[in-house]
Amino acid sequence: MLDATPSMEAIEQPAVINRGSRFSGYLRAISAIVWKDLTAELRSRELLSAMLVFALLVILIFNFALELDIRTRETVTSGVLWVTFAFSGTLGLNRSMAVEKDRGCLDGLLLAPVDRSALYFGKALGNLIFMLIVEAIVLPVYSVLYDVNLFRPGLMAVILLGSVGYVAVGTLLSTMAVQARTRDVLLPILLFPVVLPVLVAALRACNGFLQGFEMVEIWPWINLLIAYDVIFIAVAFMVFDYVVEE
Amino acid sequence: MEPIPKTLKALNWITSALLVVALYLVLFYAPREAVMGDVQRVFYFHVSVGWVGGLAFLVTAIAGGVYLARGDHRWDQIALASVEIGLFFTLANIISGSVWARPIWNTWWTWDPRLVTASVMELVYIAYLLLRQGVEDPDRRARFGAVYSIVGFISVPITFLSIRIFRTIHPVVIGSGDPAAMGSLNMDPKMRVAFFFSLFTFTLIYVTLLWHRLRLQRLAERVEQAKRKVLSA
Amino acid sequence: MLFQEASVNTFNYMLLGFSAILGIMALFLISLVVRFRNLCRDLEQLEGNDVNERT
Repeated sequence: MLDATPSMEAIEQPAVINRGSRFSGYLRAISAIVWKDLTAELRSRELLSAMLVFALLVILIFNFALELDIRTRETVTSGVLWVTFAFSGTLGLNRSMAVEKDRGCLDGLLLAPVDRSALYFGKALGNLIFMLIVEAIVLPVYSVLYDVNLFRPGLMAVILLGSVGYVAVGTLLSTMAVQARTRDVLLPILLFPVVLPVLVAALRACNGFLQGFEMVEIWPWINLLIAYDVIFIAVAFMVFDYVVEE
Repeated sequence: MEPIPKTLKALNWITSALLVVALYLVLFYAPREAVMGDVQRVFYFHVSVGWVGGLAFLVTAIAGGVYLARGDHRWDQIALASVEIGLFFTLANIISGSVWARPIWNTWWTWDPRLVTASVMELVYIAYLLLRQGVEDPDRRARFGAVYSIVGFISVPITFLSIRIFRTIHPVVIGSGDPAAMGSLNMDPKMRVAFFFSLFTFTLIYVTLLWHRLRLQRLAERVEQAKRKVLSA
Repeated sequence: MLFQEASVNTFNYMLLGFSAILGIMALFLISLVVRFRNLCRDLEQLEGNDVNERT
């Protein structure tokens, strides 16, 4: 098992081994990973296009599956949105980790003299950004197609909180799934039972904002989302090492 | 095959006897409930079985955690053994809950937080086994199992909470009774005896079955070793 | 299926409920027994082979 000590930094700057430099090294590692994913994606655009096309297709299917007439539209919108996000999110999570594994980047990243959790945060942040980009495109499309105003601050805050929770657990689980034989099929099976509270809470909160419920009815959901996000980011941070050991 | 230890043999007998007594208490000693009739008796075992399912899951998560910390694969054996028991008992919980619901609320399924959470927990167990099946390397298999069992275990109470909130904000009226009352009966003393005795009996059943399943696991590993020896010879 | 008096008609459901619980437990026990037998037999065969190869 690789030892994650900042030995290389010690060689370069022998006098500067203090908390500050180690932490900024940590942050630099995270931003390096995020930057790598973003620039790779900018060039190939394969991840985003796949997620986006899939999301739009799901919305299209829902159009025929559910009677989205003016009256039912309001009640059904948040459900349609979150099912779309959940499924296209799975695509993104799978691809993101599969790329690392297949191109051997995972081993390279593991050799870096930095705490393993930086790898987790870097990938999670990258996954989050991709998910948010897809959501940012889906929202206006849906708004236009169904003449529903989705641009309320409360709604967008909930989508952000929900995506954070989804990606926090999803990144951890996809790291495991990608190392299994049943790779692509396994991630949804692992993820959905565990991420259910996020989906329920985000769905109900979005619905509350869309239908103009009182904040007092929506707060429990937002609190649940925040609690979930905090708990699972902490858990993932603690166990991630065990998932990438060689 | 290693001979059955005396304690386990004794446990077998004791547990079987306790189960018979529990059946007597539940079927005859406890009075018939006024509103729901005889089907209410299922409740005693329904809760006990559900309790065993949750306990089994907790044991798996803790054993997984200890395995991660210490690397001793015997803890992984415990985790795996416990999951199987949990899977069967949680299934029994779900089915008995459904059977209980049918005459009371005239539906085979209620979106009661407990029933839904049990189902989600069952799905997590199944996912756990599928995860293990998909990983070749035994050490990695154990580690991944441990991580997932911990993540899964933490998520289950949160799932329960989310559905509970869902039900309080959007109560679903099924039939005449409040579905949230499922399990919160006013129990008279005889019922209490049957209830707690069942809980105790099933806990002991869990321990006994866990022990047996562990022995099976150790035997399976011996067979694996023997296979490898024969293949390499 | 009409039910007039709950205390009379739920007996069948009670039987169903108990058979489900006990049946599932029995299934688990049976699976344990079957697996034990198979493994013991495998072990005997394998260790028998081992002995044969050495002799």
